[in-house]
Amino acid sequence: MPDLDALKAEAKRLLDEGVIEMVIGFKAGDTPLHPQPAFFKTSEEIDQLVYNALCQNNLATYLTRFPKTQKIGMLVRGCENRSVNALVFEGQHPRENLYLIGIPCEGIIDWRKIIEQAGEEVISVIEQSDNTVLVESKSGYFTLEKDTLLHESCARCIHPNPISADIVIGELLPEGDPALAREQVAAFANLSLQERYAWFRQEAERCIRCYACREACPMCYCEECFVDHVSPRWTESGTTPAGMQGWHIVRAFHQTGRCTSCGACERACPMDIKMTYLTEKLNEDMRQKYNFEAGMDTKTPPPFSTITLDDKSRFIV
Amino acid sequence: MVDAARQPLIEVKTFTEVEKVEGYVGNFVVTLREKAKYVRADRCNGCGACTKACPVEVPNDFELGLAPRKAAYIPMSQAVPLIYNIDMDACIHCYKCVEACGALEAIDFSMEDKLVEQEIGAIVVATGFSHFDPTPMTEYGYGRFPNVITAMEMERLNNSAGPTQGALIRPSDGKRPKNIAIINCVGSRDKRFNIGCSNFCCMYAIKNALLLKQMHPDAELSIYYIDIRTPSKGYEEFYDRARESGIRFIQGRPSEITEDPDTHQLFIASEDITLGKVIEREYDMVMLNQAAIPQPDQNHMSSVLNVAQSPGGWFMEYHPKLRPMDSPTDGIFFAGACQGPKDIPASVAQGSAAASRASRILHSDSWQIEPTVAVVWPDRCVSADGQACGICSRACPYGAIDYTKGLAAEVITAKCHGCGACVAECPHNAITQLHYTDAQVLAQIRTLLAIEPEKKILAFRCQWCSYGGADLAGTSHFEYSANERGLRVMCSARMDADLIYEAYRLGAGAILYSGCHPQDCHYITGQISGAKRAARLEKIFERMQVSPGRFRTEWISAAEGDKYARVINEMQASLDAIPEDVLKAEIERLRPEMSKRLTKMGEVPGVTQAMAQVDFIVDEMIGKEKGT
Amino acid sequence: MSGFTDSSTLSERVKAIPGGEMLMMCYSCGTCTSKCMIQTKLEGSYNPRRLIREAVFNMDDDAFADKTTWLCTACDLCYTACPQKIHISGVINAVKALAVESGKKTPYQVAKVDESTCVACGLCEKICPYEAISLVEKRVAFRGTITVASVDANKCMACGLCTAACRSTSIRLAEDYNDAELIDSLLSWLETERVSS
Repeated sequence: MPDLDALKAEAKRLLDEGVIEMVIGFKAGDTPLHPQPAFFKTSEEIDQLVYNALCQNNLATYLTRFPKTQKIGMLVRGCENRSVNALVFEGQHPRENLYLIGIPCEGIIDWRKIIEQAGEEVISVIEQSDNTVLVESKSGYFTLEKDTLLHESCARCIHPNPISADIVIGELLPEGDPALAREQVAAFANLSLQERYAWFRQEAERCIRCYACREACPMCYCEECFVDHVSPRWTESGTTPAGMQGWHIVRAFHQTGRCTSCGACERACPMDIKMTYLTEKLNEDMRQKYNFEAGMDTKTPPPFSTITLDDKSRFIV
Repeated sequence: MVDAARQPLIEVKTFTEVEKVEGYVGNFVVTLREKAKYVRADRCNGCGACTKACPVEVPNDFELGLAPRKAAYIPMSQAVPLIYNIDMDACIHCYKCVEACGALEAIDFSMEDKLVEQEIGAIVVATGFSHFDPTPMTEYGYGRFPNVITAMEMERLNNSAGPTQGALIRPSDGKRPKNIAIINCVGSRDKRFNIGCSNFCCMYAIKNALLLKQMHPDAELSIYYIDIRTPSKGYEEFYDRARESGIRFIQGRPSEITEDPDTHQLFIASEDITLGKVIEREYDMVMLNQAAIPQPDQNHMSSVLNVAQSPGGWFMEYHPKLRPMDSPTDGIFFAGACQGPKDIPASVAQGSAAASRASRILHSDSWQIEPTVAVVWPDRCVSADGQACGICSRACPYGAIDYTKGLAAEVITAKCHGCGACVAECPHNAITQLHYTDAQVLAQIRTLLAIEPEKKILAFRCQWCSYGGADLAGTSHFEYSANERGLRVMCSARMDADLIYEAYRLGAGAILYSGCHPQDCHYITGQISGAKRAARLEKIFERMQVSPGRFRTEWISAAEGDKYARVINEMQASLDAIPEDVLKAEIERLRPEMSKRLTKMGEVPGVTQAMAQVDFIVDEMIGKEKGT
Repeated sequence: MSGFTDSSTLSERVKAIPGGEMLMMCYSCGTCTSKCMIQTKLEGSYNPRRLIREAVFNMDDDAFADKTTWLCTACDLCYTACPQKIHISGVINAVKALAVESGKKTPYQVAKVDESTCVACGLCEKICPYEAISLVEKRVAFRGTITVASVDANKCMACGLCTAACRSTSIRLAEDYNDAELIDSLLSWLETERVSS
């Protein structure tokens, strides 16, 4: 875990020296399981800054909600840093107006897994140095192995370190093994067509079209989402099977070459729908076919966002 | 050919290559390689028994590979002399031909190539032309579609002595084609392949179409063309006859030939220019009228004969209008298409002309040349002192200077054309050119710059082009600055750096270095050495910080009077742009530098005396003008 | 001796635009016309050779009204076929630029940006094969001064690639091949598929 005091000190310095106008970070939430995103504008407010393994939002999501001229500081973990890079590439905020405070990330704890073991009403969660988590709930005290609590996306994370932060606070961590991501992809991709469709239908069926996944995703920043488009209407908007499946498929395709595997969509879903098996498959295709990973820099265009004269599909040039 | 071979004074040497040409007009020594035929000319009676006996078959070049020939063969039935030949690359040494020849004993496998040296008075080059291979033009499918053939293949197919005994058939199925298209300008008038017009193909297409029409009146013939060119007497009438006989002429260059892979029928899409519409028509067979191109070994021959080539690769004539059959080298003449594509009447005319030009030499005891030849002062030549130099020899476009270390360079006067390249290039001023000696040219420069030199534009012009251009500007009344002072030398190759330095030393305002365009040079590569020197001078003057516009290089042909006038006016404008005091200061600044480069000029015979003479005359004249 | 030619004529102006220099080299062989896919597959009155003639003869009105001026996709099939090595699409583009300069507009549709929803992600700009789209800063009703995509009508060939690529359906073809039409045909295709399977 990074030193919280160091984080605060840096954030205060940036605000005091006027390098930035605002810091996007976390503060304590209503329950100990849910720290919430916070926007600190003065160094006094920084005292409320919180950072722990339960901070589950991808902060890059909030970047597109502020004017491009605003100088913004931001806590970034590996995935957030890459989301920011992808957003900079797409012109959503100039890099020179950003100050990224990097945090090497040991993974986000899935609060649902804590509840599974410690019961609903959690009073406090304390991360301990021996990689365990001490949870106090109405049912008593529980010492849980942190590794078993990690969110699935984090368990197979490849790039835990911020790759282009302006400052990194904390020790850099070893890179993850891409084989884990490949395993997950294979688990889905190796199924037969019928099995895959059954899996997909089963997941999509639970959807209530709340679009929390969209709101949590940093890359879903469209002013008007295709599902909200009225004339012409591109997809059924109700919770019909066709409507729900349409949403999940097109959402995944819109992420091709842009998704940084942060898993914020799954964490945000109230219905516990698995979504990353689709985006991870597409990400793996990008890696295999185009040797491309989203957000590794701010210059390389994603393969599907560009056209070259030696394109294999010569349908237009 | 047979007629020529029977003439007692004509010796026909077939299967013989020219290896080397030395000497000069009237005194050439030519080395010939008489290739081994493996058949003795003195014994072979042309009976053909060897061919019948030979078991080896290879593609027949003369029939363009449409038919086979044996390894023991004659190239064609009209071959002169009618002596058989054994193709050693194909021969399997079964000696059946030896057996068949029998008592004649004409076949001799021990024969070898012979090198023969011959003294020759004049050379007529008549190496002809070659055909463009249309395979690279993939849009026409030659080589892919069996029924797309070349003009020469059509020629053989339609010849009674050809591989089909004159039966016109489609290569794909052996049926007689009804609907035949001829496409003109295949590879000619095409910047991707050959930029030039091949001259005779329009008439050739019409001839072929008419011939086919006469033999097969039911055949439908279409000729695709860009323009039909019928420039000679009777040609247009012939074109008329072709239209009258029902041959269709379609103006529009086809962009593509496509083929039905099952029937091998061909489809040509082209725009009919007059309709302004794209039309697609079906044909049984298509003939590509391919471009005439120089022979594949034309470059090699060019270096053997030491004659230049025009941009297209053809041999370059001395002058395109006035001496079209002469090469730039005296005693070598061109006949026919080796000099450029031409049809039979033109080839015959040029051949006769070349022969009569050649006989002029053979019937003279002496030979007149231009008097402006180069002469070496042996006492000034450093080669005589044992130094390695030879610059003059390398500068000569005609190879007219013999250079041997230890001996003074020697000009072979008969070969010298008087361009002056050697004179300008010699770093020791050891060569001079008669009528354009350093003393004479320097005297002219001194005279031209005697009064107010800083206001003058001194223009060095070459005799054949830029001088003509200036002349044309005058006769056409193109106005140009009166401050221009023209000075004629034979070639830009003669425009010695020393002459330019001297002009600047005397205070010339601006200097024009002008000559012909590179391909027009009367002295083969004279302009090129002139241009190299000009580029060198430009760099030197840039380093010396000579104001821009005071030295200019321009290539102006005798037809470009307007350009000459424009260049002079532009130079005047840039001279005007330099304030007078700045210009004068610059001239003074450069004078010592220029003098340093000219210290050796005074040693050149005649120069000092000439300068004194000029100064005296000029002073006299100025005095007279002032009335003192 | 400055110039026998008037630099204000169409031919001179075309020659002055990069790509149009070789205008006068055309000897009107018609290879370009019969090679052209637009002419053979789409529009019979399309004729690059004729357009070059119109430019050579300074027929401004004819040239600017010619469909050839507006329909060329610069595929350059004709360029590879031209025996005079004239970059024909360059000449056509030069004529088009002059037509636009004189206030003419393409008679064909171009892509339109819905500025109320465009987020300037730049996807269309990068994917456009004709480099017709750029991101510009401008005032948009209810959204203030923001960056949005903008289509250069002179370069747009209405291929629809941007429309297909846009995630927020903020750029579209309004006339032929519009979204509603495509959805309709897609649905009716699905219907028939459903019936047949």
